[in-house]
Amino acid sequence: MSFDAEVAKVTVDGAEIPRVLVPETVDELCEALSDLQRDRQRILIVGGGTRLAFGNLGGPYDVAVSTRRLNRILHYEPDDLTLAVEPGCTIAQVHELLGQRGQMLALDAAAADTSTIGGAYAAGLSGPRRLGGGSLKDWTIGVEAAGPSGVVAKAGGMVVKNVTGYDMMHVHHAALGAFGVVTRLNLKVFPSPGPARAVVIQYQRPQDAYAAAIALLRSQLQPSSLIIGNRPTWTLRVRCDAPPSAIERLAERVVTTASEAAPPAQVDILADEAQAVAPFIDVTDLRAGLGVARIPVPASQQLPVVELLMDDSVCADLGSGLVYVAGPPTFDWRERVIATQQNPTFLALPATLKEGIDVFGSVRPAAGEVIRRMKQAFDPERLLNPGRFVLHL
Amino acid sequence: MASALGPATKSALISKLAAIVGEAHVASDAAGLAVYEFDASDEAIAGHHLPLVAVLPGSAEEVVQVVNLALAHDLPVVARGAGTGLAGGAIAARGGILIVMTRMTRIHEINEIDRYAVVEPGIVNLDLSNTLLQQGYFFAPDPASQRVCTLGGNIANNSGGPHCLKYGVTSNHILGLEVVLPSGELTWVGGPSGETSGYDLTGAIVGSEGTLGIVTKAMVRLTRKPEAVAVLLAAFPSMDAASRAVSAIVAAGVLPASLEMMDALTISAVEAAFHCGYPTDAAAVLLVELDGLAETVAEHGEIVARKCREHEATMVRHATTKAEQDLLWLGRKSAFGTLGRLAPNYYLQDTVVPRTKLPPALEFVGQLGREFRLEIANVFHAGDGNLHPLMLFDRRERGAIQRVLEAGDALLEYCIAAGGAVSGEHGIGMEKKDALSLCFTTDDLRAMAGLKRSFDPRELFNPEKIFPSGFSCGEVNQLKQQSLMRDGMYVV
Ligand SMILES: Cc1cc2nc3c(=O)[nH]c(=O)nc-3n(C[C@H](O)[C@H](O)[C@H](O)COP(=O)(O)OP(=O)(O)OC[C@H]3O[C@@H](n4cnc5c(N)ncnc54)[C@H](O)[C@@H]3O)c2cc1C
Ligand SMILES: Cc1cc2nc3c(=O)[nH]c(=O)nc-3n(C[C@H](O)[C@H](O)[C@H](O)COP(=O)(O)OP(=O)(O)OC[C@H]3O[C@@H](n4cnc5c(N)ncnc54)[C@H](O)[C@@H]3O)c2cc1C
Repeated sequence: MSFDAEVAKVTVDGAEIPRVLVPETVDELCEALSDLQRDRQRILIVGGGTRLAFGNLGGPYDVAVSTRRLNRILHYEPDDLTLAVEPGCTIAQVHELLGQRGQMLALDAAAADTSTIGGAYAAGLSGPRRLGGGSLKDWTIGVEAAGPSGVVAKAGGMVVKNVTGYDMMHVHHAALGAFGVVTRLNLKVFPSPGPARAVVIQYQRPQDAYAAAIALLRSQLQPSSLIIGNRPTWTLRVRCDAPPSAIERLAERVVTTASEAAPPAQVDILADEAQAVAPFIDVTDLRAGLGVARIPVPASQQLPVVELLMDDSVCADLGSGLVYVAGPPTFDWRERVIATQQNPTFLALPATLKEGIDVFGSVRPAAGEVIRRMKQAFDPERLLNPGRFVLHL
Repeated sequence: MASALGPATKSALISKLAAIVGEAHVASDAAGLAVYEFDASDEAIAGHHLPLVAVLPGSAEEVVQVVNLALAHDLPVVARGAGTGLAGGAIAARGGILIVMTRMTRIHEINEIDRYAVVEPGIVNLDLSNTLLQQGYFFAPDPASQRVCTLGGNIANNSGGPHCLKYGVTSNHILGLEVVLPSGELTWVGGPSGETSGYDLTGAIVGSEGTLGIVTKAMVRLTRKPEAVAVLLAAFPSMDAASRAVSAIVAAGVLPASLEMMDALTISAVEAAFHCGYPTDAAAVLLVELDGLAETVAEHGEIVARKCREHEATMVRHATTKAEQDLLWLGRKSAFGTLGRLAPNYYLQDTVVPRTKLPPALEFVGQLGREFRLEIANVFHAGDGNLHPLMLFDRRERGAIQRVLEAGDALLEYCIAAGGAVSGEHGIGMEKKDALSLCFTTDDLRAMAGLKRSFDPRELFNPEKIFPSGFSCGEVNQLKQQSLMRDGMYVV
């Protein structure tokens, strides 16, 4: 176990956690968990620490366990299109490895150098490229997770198609560590489709941006992502991926289809692909101290919701059916978001505003009962990320 | 035990069920139940089990009432679709009430903009896709049994199909579900958005073989029909060459919509029945479909053809017209049926290896055939490394089924040692539950049992499936017990 100056301090919801453990191996992690369980120590699991704002007001925590040093690539077979990593690998590390072999995962990460793949999976937050390529939920073909007693259980495997046993890959995904500390992820990866373009189309009115976006959604042009931002003007951003022979014509066809649906104020085709998701990265940066919410609304019903939130920074992800909004971290803002009546999830709120609500929104009672029993089955003493998950579990 | 109900209680139960679903939709006599004794698995796997009674509900509300009646009588419930499952999943292994979903076939909503449809689980896979195709969309999972199998069965088994290579398996195409939980409650999980609020149980339920809930509606993802489709057929002098071509295609950065292989035995059976134009002198063919933007398809078509030729392909043919493409696919999708005619019985093993391990795995299948004196045909999802050796035999021949099952087990062990899994797409059911311990430890199984208990503490939903015989989900309150034990030790 090492001392790491960078992770010497972990602060969550305004409270500093007195002790941070940084295991170097999964065995060390398991030993630590077992010891901590014996002493009934309540644990905050931390990856890169970039998304700790997300979660209910939990704790108090006796100790933070960091996955930072669990950052080994365990297996990479490019010809099988499979990769196995420890949870502390950063998104940037994974991108770089895959990039060397012309392969990729369609992850758009803010702070890719710090964000860990385990944190992205546990938080269940994916980006607009879900439209073209799915998300970690779809790519995870195997998982290993340590329970509070330090016993590791695995599921799935290293093959891209597998129905052997229950799909625990979907159980730990987006569970925010409530059911175990993820110690290994097996992923299927993809060949890079070729060069990308960001098509950036500005509109005066939101309804025009929506008309254009929906025309693209219904087309056969297969955009990789499709979002609308409201700052500084209503802007439709489309990411296109295609082989070199096709990319220019594809970007032009996107412009044509959008323009036919609603004449734009301005059009740019950019080689800087990051421009395709820029507002998403801005709005979902949880470290800015703003309130951030994610509202599930299918594309066809987004416009009225977006109009209600026009005063804030909005990023509407049409391909994923999600509207992200960032605003002042105030009571009024929180209530304005709740007033959309779309069962929002708050990704970041100051601790005082987390009080009295479930940041995950509401859960249907019958499903809630199952989730409660899952917590009871996997972490009966509620030692792992206590209180942070859905229903304050 | 279910069938231990006294005759009076049984007949009262049947009347109550008839009141729920209608008399015409209840079967309880030997003749009526006989069709439910088996699914498409071999009887050596399924054994001989009959439900106490079978019902065919017409709505989710009826399913809820039936399940609650079962709970009140402590009876197991087993959902059943078309019964094409190959692992004994739809068999009422402990009797009880069989809920046959085939009357529930309505399409409630098709939403093209948000790209989902809400449908009932009894709908036949191909009927769903054909309906969606009229509007320019399709439901991507396309098991070879798609003319018959139901969406509910696809969801429960997380079924695959030729087009999973690019599009993923059923799980990737289910956005939400309406389910009757083992508590008897009806609820929705998931929804049209990529991330739902709360926590999404959908992914845990898909692939759970009816052991965690009965699906009464599904919100399925619609995939837009691509603007261009190309189908290529390549002939090879050996299975080995063909499987090396598979790896080469993927390594070249091409992800075809599908990449299927057929061996000589399959080719000759299919040609005799359908005249699809497969070369009968080839040891193996690859059927490759590419789809997407026109330019991409054209460029990738050339790469595929080149990679095949580099790996000894003796012929590469582009099927240019839709009719020609359909004919090639007809052969592939009807292969099991035609092979079935070559011998009185067949056993289809479904297993999977990392795709780079295909050449030695196929070599091993050949060895098994020689060692166990079995004729084995191979027609399978090569791109996914998903093997489907089909072993032909005659049940009347003494010891034949034994040889088949032994060969099947040997292959499973081989594939697991090669980094593969017990089942790629057909499920565990009764067939492979004991094989689960080949790749999972007791700790792994305990975690899965924790999930089962969370949904179904009374273990009444499709019992005797998935978990190895003798492994009880109920007694594994292990985590709690372990910690209590430890506490005890510390007191001392
Ligand atoms: C709205 C939104 C969209 C995003 N979209 C994308 C995207 O498209 N692609 C992308 O790459 N990133 C995306 N991110 C960022 C991504 O979510 C972060 O990279 C990741 O969630 C945080 O990584 P981290 O290591 O900093 O996690 P942390 O902030 O350290 O942890 C996040 C949570 O996960 C838990 N956790 C961390 N590690 C483990 C583990 N090993 N086992 C169990 N629980 C664990 C923690 O307890 C904590 O509750 C998005 C973020 C947001 C807010
Ligand atoms: C010739 C042939 C070819 C095949 N090809 C393929 C293939 O390419 N890919 C593939 O993956 N499989 C294939 N299969 C296997 C089989 O067709 C699939 O598993 C299919 O999805 C089963 O559907 P079904 O409606 O027949 O389900 P059934 O066999 O009736 O049931 C299967 C399982 O689903 C459960 N179930 C059914 N309906 C529900 C419901 N509404 N709610 C909850 N649980 C439910 C049952 O309890 C059971 O566990 C093939 C089978 C045959 C005979």
